[in-house]
Amino acid sequence: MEEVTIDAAISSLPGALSSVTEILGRLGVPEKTVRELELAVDEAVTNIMLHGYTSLEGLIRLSCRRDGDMVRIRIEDEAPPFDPTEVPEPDLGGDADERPIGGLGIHFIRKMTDEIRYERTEGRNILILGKRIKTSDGR
Amino acid sequence: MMIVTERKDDVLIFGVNGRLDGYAASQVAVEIERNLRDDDRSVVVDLDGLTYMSSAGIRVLLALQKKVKARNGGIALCNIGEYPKNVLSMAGFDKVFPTFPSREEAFREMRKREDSLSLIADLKNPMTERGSARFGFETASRAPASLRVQGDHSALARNRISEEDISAERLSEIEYSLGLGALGSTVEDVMPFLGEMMTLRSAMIWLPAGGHDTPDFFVPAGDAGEVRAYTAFNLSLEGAFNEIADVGATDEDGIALDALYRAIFALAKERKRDCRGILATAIWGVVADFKGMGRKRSPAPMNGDSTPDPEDRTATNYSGYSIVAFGIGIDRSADLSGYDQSALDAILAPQPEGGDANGLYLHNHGAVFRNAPWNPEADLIKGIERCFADGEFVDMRHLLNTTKIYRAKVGIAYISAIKRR
Repeated sequence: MEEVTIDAAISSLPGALSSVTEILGRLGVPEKTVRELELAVDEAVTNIMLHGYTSLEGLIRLSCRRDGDMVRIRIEDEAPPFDPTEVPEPDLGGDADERPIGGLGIHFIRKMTDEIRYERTEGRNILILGKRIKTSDGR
Repeated sequence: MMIVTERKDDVLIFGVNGRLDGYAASQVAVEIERNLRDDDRSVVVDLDGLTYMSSAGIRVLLALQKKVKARNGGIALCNIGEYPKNVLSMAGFDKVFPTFPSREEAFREMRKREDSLSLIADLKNPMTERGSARFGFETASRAPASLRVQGDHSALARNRISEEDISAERLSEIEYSLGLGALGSTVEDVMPFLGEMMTLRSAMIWLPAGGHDTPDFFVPAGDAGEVRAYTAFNLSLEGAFNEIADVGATDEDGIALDALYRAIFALAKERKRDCRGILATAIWGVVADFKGMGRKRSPAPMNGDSTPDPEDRTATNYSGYSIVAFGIGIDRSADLSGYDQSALDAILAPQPEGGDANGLYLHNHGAVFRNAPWNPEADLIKGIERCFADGEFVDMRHLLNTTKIYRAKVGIAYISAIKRR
């Protein structure tokens, strides 16, 4: 398992994403899967940075591990409790340019992953994003 | 991420490439805010070379589209790579934005919209080109208009204003006016704060002299009848505007205030308007380059010292912001003998900022607003009111003649008489 800890400032996001994709690469995760997980992590982390912490003081810890064909990314923060798995699906149809766009981030996370788990432990939000590596993706 | 901004034939083009993550999206939003003029309605976003995009990127595009749609405009995307295309379609947004395979096609589409919008405007109002702008005139009031002068401008220039020179004006009676004044409860109170002021409709906008260089914007709630402004000098319009001109600069840098007045005088002569050499104008437009100044000090002598203050406050830029202004122009080559001479003298004080340029004397005050979208179909008064209601108030100054505007609706009153109070 490899982990990286970042400031919850939005300017730390690009560096965090490149660290995560690098780690996933080292874990032998195929390129396409890396790209999909990257989007899911971006959405989850951006949300913590913009809506979770109320000051710039907070930290976010990201750790990645691979168990066989499952790759899991664990995202921990100490912001107020927020369970993204309870966010309802956004309305993706209708007169699209006038519809509210809340919930788009969690929609992307759901589309990009096979498993989402949330728990609140000892004042921390813990979000685990899992994805199954398909054999057709290589390796 | 890199963002490159270009403006071509009234179409704003943003080229965004690299990675558009949550952080980059916040930077793109800032760049858009910096470059989008209040009169922009056609925007191309070229995503050539964009290899990554999250939902934050969609939000930025959507916010931009909403903003320009509210002005009857729109955005067009082009050169969308596979990754952003998938993200857009996953969010159900692939059909929301018009997309084009190349920048040229997106630009052509946006130009088509601009052309049809300006064609409608031209049909409504035939345009004449003069100076560095196109003018279309619409007749408004046929009643003669006059100017009322309170105070003496040259006493201001010499900083010799005492409490006896101050008059209390009801805001409801100085609908369109400019001068030097302040809001406050007593004459004594306001003396140290007398600064550039203007009234437009029932709003008062002024730059208090004294410490802070912070202009103030006041719209009385409900009845303006009893609210009074204390003024040391005030020029107010009596009567209504005789014509409304739709003005669009043909020069991409805009048209300067003095060139605008010169053109209006010349066109008045050609079109045989009853113009005797003095105009009052109210302007609602979009700034190309704002050049303004304000007094740092009230014109009351301080400790007996009444020399003009060289450190007057200046302000510049605000390109793309909305402006509302009121002012007068005097063509000194015209025969002005028909006007009351003492009233004329009270207006024509020497202005240190060079109000007198080549036979043209101007005195204009203007206020700047942000995000009060320009709408070519809206009339002057609606436009002014929309700035007050929806715009973010930014600044107010005495306008230098070099202030430039991109476009404007200009209410023109051909002044038949000046009255002194």
